[in-house]
Amino acid sequence: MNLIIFGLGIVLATLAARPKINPTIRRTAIALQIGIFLIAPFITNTTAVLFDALTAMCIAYGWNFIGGYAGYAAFGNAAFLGLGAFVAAAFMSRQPGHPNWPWFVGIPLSVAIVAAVAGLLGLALLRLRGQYFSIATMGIFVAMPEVVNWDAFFGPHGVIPNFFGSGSLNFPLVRDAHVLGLTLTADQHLFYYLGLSTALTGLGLTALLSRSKFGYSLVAIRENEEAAEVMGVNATTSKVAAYMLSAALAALGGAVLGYKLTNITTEAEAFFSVANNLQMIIICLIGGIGTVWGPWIGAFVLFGIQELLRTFSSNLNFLEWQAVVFGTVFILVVLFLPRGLMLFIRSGERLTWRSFVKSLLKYRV
Amino acid sequence: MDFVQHIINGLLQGSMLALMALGFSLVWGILHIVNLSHAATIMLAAFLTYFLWSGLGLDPLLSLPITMAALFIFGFLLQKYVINFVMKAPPLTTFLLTYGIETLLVSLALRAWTADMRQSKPGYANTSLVIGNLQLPYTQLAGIVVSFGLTLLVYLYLDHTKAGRAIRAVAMDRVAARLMGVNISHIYALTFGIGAALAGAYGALLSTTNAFAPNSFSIYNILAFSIVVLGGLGSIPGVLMGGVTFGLVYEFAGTYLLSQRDVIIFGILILVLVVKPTGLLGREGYGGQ
Repeated sequence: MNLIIFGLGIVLATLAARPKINPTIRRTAIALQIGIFLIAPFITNTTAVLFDALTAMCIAYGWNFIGGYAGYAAFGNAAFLGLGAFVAAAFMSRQPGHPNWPWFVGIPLSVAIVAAVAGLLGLALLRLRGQYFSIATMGIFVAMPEVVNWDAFFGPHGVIPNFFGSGSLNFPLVRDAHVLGLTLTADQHLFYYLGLSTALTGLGLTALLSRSKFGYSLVAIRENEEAAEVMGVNATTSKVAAYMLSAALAALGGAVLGYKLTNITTEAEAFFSVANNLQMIIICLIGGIGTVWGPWIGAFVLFGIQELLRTFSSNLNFLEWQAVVFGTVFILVVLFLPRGLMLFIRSGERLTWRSFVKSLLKYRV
Repeated sequence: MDFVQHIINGLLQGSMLALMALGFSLVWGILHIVNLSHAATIMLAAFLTYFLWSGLGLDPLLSLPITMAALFIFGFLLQKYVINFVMKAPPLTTFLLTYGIETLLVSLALRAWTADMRQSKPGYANTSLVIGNLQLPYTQLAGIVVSFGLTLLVYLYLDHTKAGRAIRAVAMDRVAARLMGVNISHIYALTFGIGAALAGAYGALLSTTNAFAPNSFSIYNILAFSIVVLGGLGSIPGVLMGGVTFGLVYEFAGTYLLSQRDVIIFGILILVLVVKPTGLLGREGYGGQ
């Protein structure tokens, strides 16, 4: 069932993304899409995979701002994902010394704090270009777990004592809800809708901003930063804003992910992990970087592939093999589909074996 | 006396770090690839050395040439049959591709060899040469000898052999080199192979000095990048200087300031990138030597 939902999501998004399509068909496709995702928890047995895909999509939409539109390939957004989860947990936890605020206070607050941190880092890092910027952001990714575990700041006698609980925190548990005679269970329904709202936030922000002055200034920076500045674009402001936005969406996804998992630690594969770091970039690459529907399609393709593999290899512990799958998909996409599926959707060109071979041979020496 | 010991530790570690970054610097300076599969190459060499030692009882220093040869072949084939396909693409593409290779290799290694810590421990592993109050571990002494030896060899190879001159010609001007009859794709593969062999030598040495697991190598990509940036891209003495500086800063900052090593590396990296992006002895690529 989940596979069918992924498939419908891809097909309907493809329709919506076609540039020369009848507006009525486009609106119908989008409405149908949203309808399907609203009723999904009632027609499928488990929404766990859908939840994962939707939060990953939100994080990928974040990466898309800095890596796609602005053309600054950040490699460390998983640091903000993890930080978002930790800050949110620190505000929401019931453990002693934590305020135990509700999620609609804790998560937005965490998003704002992470965006501010990213803004400060961005002011320094965004002076760098190309690979220098990428490696520097990768440095953030490596250093962040150490910062979260740093006794001098967050230890028992630190600046903010035990804020991060020495690298391990618990979110409060969520109870099932009863609305209009329906029982909405936490995992199947409530977290799913939270995940869906993060993905829609990402999509909405991207759709809105890509056609704004801000969006165009990012594209101008990507194409030629000096020329953009001459034309009156304030490059520093735009880049830092894009970086903050990308960190904010990563933190939002991370916080929701953590809320569902309940227990978070710096060691956990679910947060400061290479797989997370890679996932958002693969999603954008598969769909097409710097596009509104790219991450949407990319996330469903990537998680669709994973779901297929899971169906056909039931005896494997899938989480252990996730990074292997990601690495393989990543290499194949870079070699065979370097400009993403959106290129084909936009140009109306057909996706055939020949187009894969053509992509492969295009840049060889 | 403590102070002198720290200086010696820093120098010993630094010279090994220079060897670690040398292959990375060659590949970056000549092929213009920021090779993020560098750390995975070191990992493969460390495991190969470990298995040769634990399985066949081969001394890590004796198996060093075998490890280097194996890694050379690995690097050569990887460049020839994978990376060469994207060499003319925008720089981000090779960057992403090597990151994918890194992730694939590390995650496969984690599945095959688990996250257990391993270390090659030949008889001399935990013994030191003692001079007065100073301790010089034998494995690290071997490291410094191998390190300087290989650096010198690379220097001579680039300057005095036909293949070395071809490599430098490609770094200077790819089109002109091709017109002079240089086989570009072969030279790329050769250079990448040499880079992998050097990473292999470091991995072999590392397997005797440190305990390691597949996921303990990720820091080396950033470290190599930082060392090359600090020393300056396209300069072999620069790599040595960058490595030794890092070794010393690591040792002193780690002892007197913070135990957060990754934060230190990150701090230095940002400082260098923002203050002097061309490094201490920097020039563009290896063409200028």
